[in-house]
Amino acid sequence: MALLEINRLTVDFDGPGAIRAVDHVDLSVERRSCVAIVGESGSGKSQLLLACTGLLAANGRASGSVRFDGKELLGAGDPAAQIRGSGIGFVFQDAAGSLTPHRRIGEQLAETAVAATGITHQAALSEAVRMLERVRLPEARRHLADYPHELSGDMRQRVAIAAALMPRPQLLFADEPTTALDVTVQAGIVALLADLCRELGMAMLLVTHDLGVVSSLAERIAVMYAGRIVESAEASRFLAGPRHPYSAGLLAAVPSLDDPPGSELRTIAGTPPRPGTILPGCRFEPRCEHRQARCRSEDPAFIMQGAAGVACHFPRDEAQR
Amino acid sequence: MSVLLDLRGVTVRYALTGRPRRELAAVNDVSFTIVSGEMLGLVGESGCGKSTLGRAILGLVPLAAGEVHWQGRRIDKLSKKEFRGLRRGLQLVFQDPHACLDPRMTIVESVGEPLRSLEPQLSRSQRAACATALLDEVGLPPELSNRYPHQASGGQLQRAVIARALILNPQLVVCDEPVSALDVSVQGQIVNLLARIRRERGLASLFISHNLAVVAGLCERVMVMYLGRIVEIAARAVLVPAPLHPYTRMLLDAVPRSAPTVRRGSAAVPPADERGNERSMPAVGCAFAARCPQVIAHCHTQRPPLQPMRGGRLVACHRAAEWPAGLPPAAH
Amino acid sequence: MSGRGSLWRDALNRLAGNRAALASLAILVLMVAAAVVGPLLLDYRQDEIDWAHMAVPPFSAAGHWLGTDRLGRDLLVRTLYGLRVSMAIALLATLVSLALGVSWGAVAGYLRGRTDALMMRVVDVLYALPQVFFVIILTVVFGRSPATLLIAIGAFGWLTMARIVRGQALALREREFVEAAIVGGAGTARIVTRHIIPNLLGPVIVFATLTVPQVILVESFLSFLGIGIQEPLASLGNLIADGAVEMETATWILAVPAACLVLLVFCFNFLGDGLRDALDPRDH
Repeated sequence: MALLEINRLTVDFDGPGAIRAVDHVDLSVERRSCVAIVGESGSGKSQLLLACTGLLAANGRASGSVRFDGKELLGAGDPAAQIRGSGIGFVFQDAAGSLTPHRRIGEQLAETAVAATGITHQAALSEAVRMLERVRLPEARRHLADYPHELSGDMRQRVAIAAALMPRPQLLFADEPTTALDVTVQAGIVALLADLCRELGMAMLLVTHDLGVVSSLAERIAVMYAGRIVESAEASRFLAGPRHPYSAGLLAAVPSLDDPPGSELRTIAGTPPRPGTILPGCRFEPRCEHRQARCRSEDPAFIMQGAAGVACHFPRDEAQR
Repeated sequence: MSVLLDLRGVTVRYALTGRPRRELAAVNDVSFTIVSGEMLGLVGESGCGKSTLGRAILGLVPLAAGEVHWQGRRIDKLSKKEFRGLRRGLQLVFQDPHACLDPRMTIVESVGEPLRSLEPQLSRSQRAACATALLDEVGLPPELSNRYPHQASGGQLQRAVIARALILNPQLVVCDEPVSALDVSVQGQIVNLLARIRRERGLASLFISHNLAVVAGLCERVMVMYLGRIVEIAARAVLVPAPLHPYTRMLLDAVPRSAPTVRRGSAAVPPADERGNERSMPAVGCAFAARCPQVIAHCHTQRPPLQPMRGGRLVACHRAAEWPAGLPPAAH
Repeated sequence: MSGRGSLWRDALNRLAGNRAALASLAILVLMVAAAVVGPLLLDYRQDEIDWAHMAVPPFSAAGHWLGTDRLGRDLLVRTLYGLRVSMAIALLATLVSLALGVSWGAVAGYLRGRTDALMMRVVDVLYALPQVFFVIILTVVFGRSPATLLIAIGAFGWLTMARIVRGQALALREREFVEAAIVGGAGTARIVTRHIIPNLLGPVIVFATLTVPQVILVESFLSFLGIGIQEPLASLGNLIADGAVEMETATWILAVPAACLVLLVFCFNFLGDGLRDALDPRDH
């Protein structure tokens, strides 16, 4: 049984103009594995994470099933509350936002450990030092007395990761963990996350728009578009040859230094659909280079073949790659 | 080719809060020129002062030292009123299209607004016609022009922002991270649009970005900035294959060589300490010394000046002469 | 205002979904209509004494639906007149606060620096004056009249508005679209009128709605103290003052205007809350 199993998860938002942010998504994360959800703004990837942990906004409703270690997380009485922090740790895009500004780092780390495991404050403090060393923070002991604003963005993100790991979660949710960081330090954080998962035997569900991050971390990649998963495959297979036209477009759109100067960048025409505007037929059809008449009328089902799946009437096959 | 813009030792300081009162030099002794029709790239990380530099050129932040010359005329001491006349020639494209368009104005109103301020003789319909023509040029569907910013996507709005910058028919546009707030699938559209406009209009521009791959694809000449100072200026053709400054090398290593590949980087590399933070600015020595893999003792005591190297490039590194063929990529 | 585009339309839609606010709006409209038209339709004038019916309770004498006071004046008519005076003063004072407070605050906030400091010190000095004392001096010098009261209330009402608007303007001027307007060649006047003020109207409308009941209460309080609206003119304040005297023997003389005041203030507050929610979608 997988550590996290998401079945037909749907997230709706009420209000003037109801919005379906996530539409019948299936996904599972095995123990000790890293799964990445790739998508652009409004694809529903962040709402998916929030729904799994019962942190949706007040007017959001999640239906379907999310099982963590066999326990259902959706339902009345917020059953997800028990696993927040202890079973599942979080790393957000904005590390500054996840650390309390007016409290010292050592206190914040120790507090989560005390709350989760019931050890003494003194023990928790030395545990905090060990964890800060684990996230390669130089002179970890010295930083215990620092406030978050005294650190660089890079170091803050490392502290935020340490805070998430204090209760030793089995699964880490990482929502755009490198997006707010400078390009030259992103690789360091990515490598750190990979090392930590290996060392601690932890699984990770990574949400990002950055294919560079994904390619070096994830074993499995799921691409989301307009609330649906359109392709899911092993990372190496996916990167070698994506089958959905959207995945292929995303990969091609990353600018590279190997492009000759002055050449046109490959792009995907049009813009991502606004959340809530769901048309009949394939959601990617208006932007797809390979669309045909059928795509406009019939919504392609997500079909798994072995370890890979794609939701496209005309997936690109080996010959087209 | 005439020199359009000429910066000489431009320095911008911000007062820091706290005691003792100190100042942070966001931009420090920056000099360069842009000739008409040239697209110059400026690369650096957040907090390195690249956006402040762009704003200083446009007279939006005062200089602490140095001079800005526009078409041979010194403009950094002009009053707000005197500067208004220059805005016809000198425009800015902002990073976040949602933030830089007034939420209570329709797209076509926002695009036409510069005309209203600087070409008051035009009638309302003339203004609208002008704006509509430009929206067409930047590829914004006409049905969007009467919408409000929150009703359009980031990519669509960025086209409108570009149209607004072009409506006065400027000679130079500062593009401040024009694609970094946009979705990956849309970024390329905007980059291609800027390249096309530049080709068709012969427009000069300063293109600011943190993504060296984007800059290298657009600009013939690239400047690299670190903590307020220019560390390397070189033609794209020599900078990308053979960077001379270790920081340029680091930026190049952060770009996927041919998408998608694993980025180089290791968890063992110590994290950057307090970048962009006043505490990290060493009073003496090279600002990059703390993060530099090629650091020598000399770097901590003496600041390397920006000096000319072979091929008309400028580099601020004591050791640049040691690697004439450029720094090799970091070992994986 | 709704013509200014769909942000306003969205807000109106959200307001339409708020029952408490809508009900309050409906009651307010009814009250205004009653205050304006009501006295014309009734048989009594506000100072007309009915010698046959003095201090009768509601629904007990023909024609006097809400009873009469101890001088035999119809309480319904007097309450409607009181409502008219109270509301007129409240609305005028709110308009003064809108016009003066918004422009003062927007200019100070946008210009910052020395101009801002000077303009806000003026506000601070006025704040420091005791309002009741100021009203007493005014009435001594100019005599008691609704106009004096209006000046007294208006002179203070715009201060808080100016402070709120200045704070908003300070935040707005840092927004990128203002910088974009400067780059586009817009001058100060244009930026203040076209970019700053339209974008701070949301909080201004909310605050104005909440100012109305505040002013009504101040007016009532001053009239209650006897330095506001004077007999035989009615205002909610002096009606309540009258009623308070008879509280033990003829409760309704107090109850009718007091209920009216409570309803009025409640409705304005509900409407203000509703507007705040409607204009600030972040809460949803």
